Amino acid sequence: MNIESILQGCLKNDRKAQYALYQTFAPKMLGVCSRYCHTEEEAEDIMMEGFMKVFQKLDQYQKKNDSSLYSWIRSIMVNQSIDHFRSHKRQYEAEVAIEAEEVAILSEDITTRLDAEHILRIMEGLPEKQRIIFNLREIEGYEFEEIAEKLQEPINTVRVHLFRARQWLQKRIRKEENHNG
Amino acid sequence: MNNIKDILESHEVQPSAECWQKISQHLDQVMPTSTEGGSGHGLSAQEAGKHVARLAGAAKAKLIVAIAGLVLGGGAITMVSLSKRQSPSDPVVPASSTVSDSLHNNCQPLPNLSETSDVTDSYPKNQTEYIKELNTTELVTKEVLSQPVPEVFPTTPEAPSPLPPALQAPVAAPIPSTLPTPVLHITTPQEDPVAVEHLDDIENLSTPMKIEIPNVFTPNGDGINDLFVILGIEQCHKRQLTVRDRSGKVVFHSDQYDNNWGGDNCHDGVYYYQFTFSGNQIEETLKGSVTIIRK
Repeated sequence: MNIESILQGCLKNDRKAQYALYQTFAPKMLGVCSRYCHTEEEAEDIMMEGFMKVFQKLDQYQKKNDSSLYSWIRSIMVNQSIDHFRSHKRQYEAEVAIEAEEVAILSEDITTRLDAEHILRIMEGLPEKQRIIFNLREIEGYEFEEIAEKLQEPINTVRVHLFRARQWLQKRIRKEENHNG
Repeated sequence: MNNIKDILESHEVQPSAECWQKISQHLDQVMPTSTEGGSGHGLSAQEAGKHVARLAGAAKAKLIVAIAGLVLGGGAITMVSLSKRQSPSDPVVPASSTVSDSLHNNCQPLPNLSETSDVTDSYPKNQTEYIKELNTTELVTKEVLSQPVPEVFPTTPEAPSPLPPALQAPVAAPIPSTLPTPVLHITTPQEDPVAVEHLDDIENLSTPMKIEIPNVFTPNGDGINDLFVILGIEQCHKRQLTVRDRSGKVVFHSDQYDNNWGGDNCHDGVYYYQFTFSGNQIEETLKGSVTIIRK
């Protein structure tokens, strides 16, 4: 079954095709969701809700057809994660101005030889908001404006959170790498 | 060395088998496949049976999803909206209204200021003492005192009256020196006008406990009226204060309130307080509204 026939089957509400679509994307999407969550159960919940939305709104994708199915589903998952985060807002962090020399760190890539599991485990130590902003900006590649709008935060707050997340992660990753070898 | 983005991008997690089960159960409910029967209108007996079975399955799925949500620390809101989305496509299931219902149930009726006062105590006292006491107390408000005595107010003790007999006596006839004298407990000017008018020839009234609760305060940090200050609170032994918002949620509670609430974490708006206090062997509860204004 190729992706086009799966898609057609899904649009006809064929359960088998829907399962095939799920099979194709679920592991990737769970990987996306788990970056936003503390527990696996939470991530699975978000992924399930996301797929329910995907199947119910699939006709809307067909009409737009301006992005690949993968990125369409992925954006649903990201939005679902943000919704989940917003309805469980846990902590408030004060906004602090960002220093000029710190901007350099924002444009640098973080490199590592640790594996994904390891990085995810380190990322769990980040405060929730910092982690979500780091994900949206560094992994999803959203613009600051877009993130600020999605999270309903001022742009500068987003920048500060991202800066802190990067700084903290870099330090932690270096430490882990040295520790391991 | 790899970029952290690439590592995380390619990261996959295998979902557990239950996930698809839950999704397909949900799909069965919101968009049943054509082989499973139609929209729910005009079902044949056989179809109706299937429909019921499907609903049972769906209910179970909802339950599981709801429990999962609760375990994860208050996912309930998302889940309720989920079940709301499911409802319209299935006429047999009534639209979920748990959120609005519970809100409705939590609502407090608007407190009525006029119900807060009453004759709370009476004890024997002779006439001179009574008048002395009346003369040494503070003014309540001229507004209330200057209101004319209503026509319906009985002038003879025999006439039927909504007031307790003890109250009627002083107006109806000269106060006998041995008559138990009522002590009026008057706390705010909005109180039962009858009780006040009853003594309208006397300007000052005795209040064993004079408690005044403001109806507005401005916690904007300017040092003026920043706290919810109940005047006269120092006379009370017990001073229990509960403040609720308009949906009935408790936003502040103290068993020994010390005029220290500054509306923390409360937006501007109207809140309802309930103040239970005791002193002079009286325990009373005052209710009313207080507005927080910060501008």
